Amino acid sequence: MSDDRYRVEVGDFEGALDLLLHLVRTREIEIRELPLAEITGEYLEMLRFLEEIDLEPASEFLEVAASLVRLKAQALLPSPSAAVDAEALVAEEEALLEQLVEHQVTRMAARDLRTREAKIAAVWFRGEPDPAGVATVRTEVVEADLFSLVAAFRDLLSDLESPSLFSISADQYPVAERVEMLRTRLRDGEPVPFDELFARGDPRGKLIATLLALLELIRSGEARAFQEAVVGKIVIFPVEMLEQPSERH
Amino acid sequence: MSDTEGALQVDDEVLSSQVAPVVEALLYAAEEPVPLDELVEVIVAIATEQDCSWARAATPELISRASIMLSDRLLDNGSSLQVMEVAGGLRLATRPQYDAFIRALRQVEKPSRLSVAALETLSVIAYRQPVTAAEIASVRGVDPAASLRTLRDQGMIRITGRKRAVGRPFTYGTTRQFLEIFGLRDLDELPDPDEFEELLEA
Repeated sequence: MSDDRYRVEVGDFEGALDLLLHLVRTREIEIRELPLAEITGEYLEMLRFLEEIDLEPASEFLEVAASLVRLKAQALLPSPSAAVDAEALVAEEEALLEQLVEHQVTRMAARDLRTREAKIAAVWFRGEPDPAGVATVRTEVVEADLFSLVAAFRDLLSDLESPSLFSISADQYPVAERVEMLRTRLRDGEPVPFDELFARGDPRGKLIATLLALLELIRSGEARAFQEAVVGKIVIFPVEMLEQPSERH
Repeated sequence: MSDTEGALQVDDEVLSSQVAPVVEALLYAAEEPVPLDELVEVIVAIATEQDCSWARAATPELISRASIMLSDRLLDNGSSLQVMEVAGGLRLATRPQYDAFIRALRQVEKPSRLSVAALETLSVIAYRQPVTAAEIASVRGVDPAASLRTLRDQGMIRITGRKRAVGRPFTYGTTRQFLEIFGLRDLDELPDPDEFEELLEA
């Protein structure tokens, strides 16, 4: 690819555990209650889609996929006697669920920190320097994670898609160009709804390049994505970099 | 502070009319949280020099009482200011309900500085410090290198040492600035991880 600089990888954002959590959350059930084999299909489908849009999942995604497939195969077996190593599989599932719970706890701790940060942001001290950044964020919204963005994009694609759009590859649309386009779009400091970034009738490759460009801006801290709830509308907020005011013009 | 019994007693009248205003003046003039010890040191030195009747009684306990009195008085008088305990020190701050006015005056917002990934890495560090990059990676399932860089650039974390393990990896811990930004008195003020786990099961 010509612009390696803009090569976005899933691992820059989130890991396999985040994808599992994303799938659990959209089902609204408790983690420990979830038979992991049940989400194998959705998990694999998401992996396939990530590859399709040029977001390379890291090898740990494949390891988790392999675990899920083993669990699924086991669940489909008619009798326990047919199981090669049923106990080892149970242990494997439990270990994975435990990791998932611990990961969820970390995310809740992170959210707790975010709440504290917002509270302290509302009080002002003497001698406080001008803070960095400008995006105004309401408290009811949550930050949209990578998989929510990708899932929203997938829905959007199936809405927009027509056969003629299908064949054109993303390589024809340099991500660098789309990054510049998005910067211009976000320059006036107003939040933009996620779906408005993608023009109806644009070739598929261009749409994918736009998504990758958006992820690049989120990674570099120039933009942040917020969502009203797990399945709510996503809005992109520009984050002006005011950390070095003297360098800004 | 077993000395206090032998020292001069300071009645509330003196505390309120003489000591609390000194604390107020110092907190107003300071641009960072002032540790109690530092307040005591300054106040003892100057009160002694000026021959104040209560100079010898100016213990950490007395100054702490004076700051509570100041805090109560600000509240009772309907002041827009409050005394906050942040990062091991005292600080004068506005109350949250005046945020909109101040933002309009200063024409800035105070958004979060951290991405979700950085915030998750930060919470792993806050709860498990001292912790190595490899240990963070095994909790989050993601390489934390980029987050660690951001967090160090923003002064939220620092290298605290090296672990006695293969490769002698660096260990990370949170800074005083971390406490300030999240409005924490100290690390013990963070909620217990078990509470989150209970929430999950609720």
